[in-house]
Amino acid sequence: SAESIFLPSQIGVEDSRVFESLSLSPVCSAADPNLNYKPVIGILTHPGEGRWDARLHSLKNYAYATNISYIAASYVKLAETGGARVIPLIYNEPEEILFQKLELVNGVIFTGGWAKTGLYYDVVEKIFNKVMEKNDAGEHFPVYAMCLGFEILSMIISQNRDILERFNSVNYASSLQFFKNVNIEATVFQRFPPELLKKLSADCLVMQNHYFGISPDNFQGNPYLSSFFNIVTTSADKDSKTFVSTIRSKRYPVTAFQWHPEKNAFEWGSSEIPHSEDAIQVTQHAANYLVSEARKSMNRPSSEKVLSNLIYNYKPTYSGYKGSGDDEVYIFT
Amino acid sequence: ASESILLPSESGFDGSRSPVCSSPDPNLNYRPVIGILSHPGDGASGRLTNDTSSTYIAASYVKFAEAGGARVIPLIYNEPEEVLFQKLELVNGVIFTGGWAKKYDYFEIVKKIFTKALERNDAGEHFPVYGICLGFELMSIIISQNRDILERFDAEDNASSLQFVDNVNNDGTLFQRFPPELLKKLSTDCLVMQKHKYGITPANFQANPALSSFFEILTTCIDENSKTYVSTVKAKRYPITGFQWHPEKNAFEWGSSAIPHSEDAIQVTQHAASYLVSEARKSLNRPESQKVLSNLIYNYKPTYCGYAGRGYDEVYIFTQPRSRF
Repeated sequence: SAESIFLPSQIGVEDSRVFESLSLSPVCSAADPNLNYKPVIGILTHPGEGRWDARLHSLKNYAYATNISYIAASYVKLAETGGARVIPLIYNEPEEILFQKLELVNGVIFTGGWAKTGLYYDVVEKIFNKVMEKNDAGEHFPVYAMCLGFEILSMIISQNRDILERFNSVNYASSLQFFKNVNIEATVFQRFPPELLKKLSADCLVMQNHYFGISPDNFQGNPYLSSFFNIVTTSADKDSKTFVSTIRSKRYPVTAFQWHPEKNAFEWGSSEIPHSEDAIQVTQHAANYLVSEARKSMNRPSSEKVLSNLIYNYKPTYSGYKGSGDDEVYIFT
Repeated sequence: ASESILLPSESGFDGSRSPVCSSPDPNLNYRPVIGILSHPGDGASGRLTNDTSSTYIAASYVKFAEAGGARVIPLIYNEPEEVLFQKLELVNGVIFTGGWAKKYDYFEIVKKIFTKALERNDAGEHFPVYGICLGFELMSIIISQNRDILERFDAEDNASSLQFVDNVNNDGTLFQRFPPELLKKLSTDCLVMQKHKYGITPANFQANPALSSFFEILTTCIDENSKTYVSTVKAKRYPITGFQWHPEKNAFEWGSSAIPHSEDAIQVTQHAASYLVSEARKSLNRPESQKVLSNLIYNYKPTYCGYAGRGYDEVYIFTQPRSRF
């Protein structure tokens, strides 16, 4: 049976006049002056327009040649669900403009995708270095890196472009196995209710869609990776091979996921994506953690500049009409 | 100190076997779709379109349903009725949004959809309804059979607390999913957004036999003149919830500085969304996938109307109603 919930009216809150005018209206508690209640998350666009049915080689050439870039709308919805607004950081915009926009945000998301070389990689590296500088200078500035974002951060930190290994981990839901001796305080999982944490490791509540990963041994065998990040969870691929699935920086508010926290609530193109109530909660809690970290950023940009750069200035395109791929994407030209 | 959380790896779980994904519950619909009824106008007092037949849905209601794990189909209130009701057959629940239209075609359509929702529930198909602000007011007018049931209140742009009514059981209501600490904060802090000129006092609500036999009052609030009004209701025998407040605004609207955006406030939005969609998953209506894809809100593009920093941030505007059946 469900545990009893004590309502305020049953634990001593003055209740005799609920149906009368309250003699003292409750005072709204003052906002915490150390928190930023209008957080904005920057999301870096990725080359191409998000169509995955082309072969990798031709897609890559096509994407870079056309100067188009995109953000799957599910990443925008993730940030908005957590209580933030979004500014797109267009990876192939002139660098000075890109970094001006970076000054308008309180955190960054590096999304999934496929681009591991060229301009995209370089821009991720530059943004990541700038993020480190901000944190080192005392401005709390979180990063969430999903799938490809996780892979690129691993390449950057490890200083090894060959750190990634092939896994059989495309398009399936998996569990998360918490790593030995891990302390989940200050990680994305600190906000997960205990019962949901149990289900995460006993049920398939997270979506995996990647060709690459890193085994725990290889992760720990790289001194840069293992001194920068703690492994929080691992998962098994379809061949029962173990890969690192969630990591958190030891000293920076940087979290990376090999899995896709945004897909459970917001993508419907694959029947493998879990959409149970528990799965939706995983998305919500992951969103909440990112934005709670962004609220610790004291960057308070000009409201007018924020309004003119918000994602609201762009319109999403319905790309999931055939019932596959991303449902909606924002395309930038 | 926070309590220790025994992680599965420390509580005897054998990680050497890959866990088998549990089977989905065959009694639940994991692809729920919520219909949202559009409202007259363009949501910006005519600044966005000259088309007098235009209707709109504030994007915050769409984001709200999506955050709960559903997709959305817009129900365009001035489409031919047969088309409107065909779309109603594609959804697993309905949201009646805020707005201002209390008469004429809009009222009649709300009434017809509401009646149809009751019929579906009576026929055994679980079909939830959320009536938010105007949606709640219209349901009150419909159920009470009294067009003058609403009273004026001074609650136009403020965050408030929710006062839980004595002896009300939260099981089966949207509050059942709220963690105990958040429930406490709801009644001591200002975590919900009020934006309405009308409401009903608890005394008048309870004095109307039709209203009080249909709905249970869950919470009340006070307006800026310390006058009490009903703020959340749940039907006694149907999965229908009415809010005088705006659960969707905390996470998704930024135009008023009075809207609460703390982490607790965002959780209020998420829990309210999760409850609606958990009720929609109990609907076993399984429409044809292609028809759903053709009618989803993804076929429409939102318009940015919050550029000036007030009003709705984004709205979906519907003109020249069309059908894709």
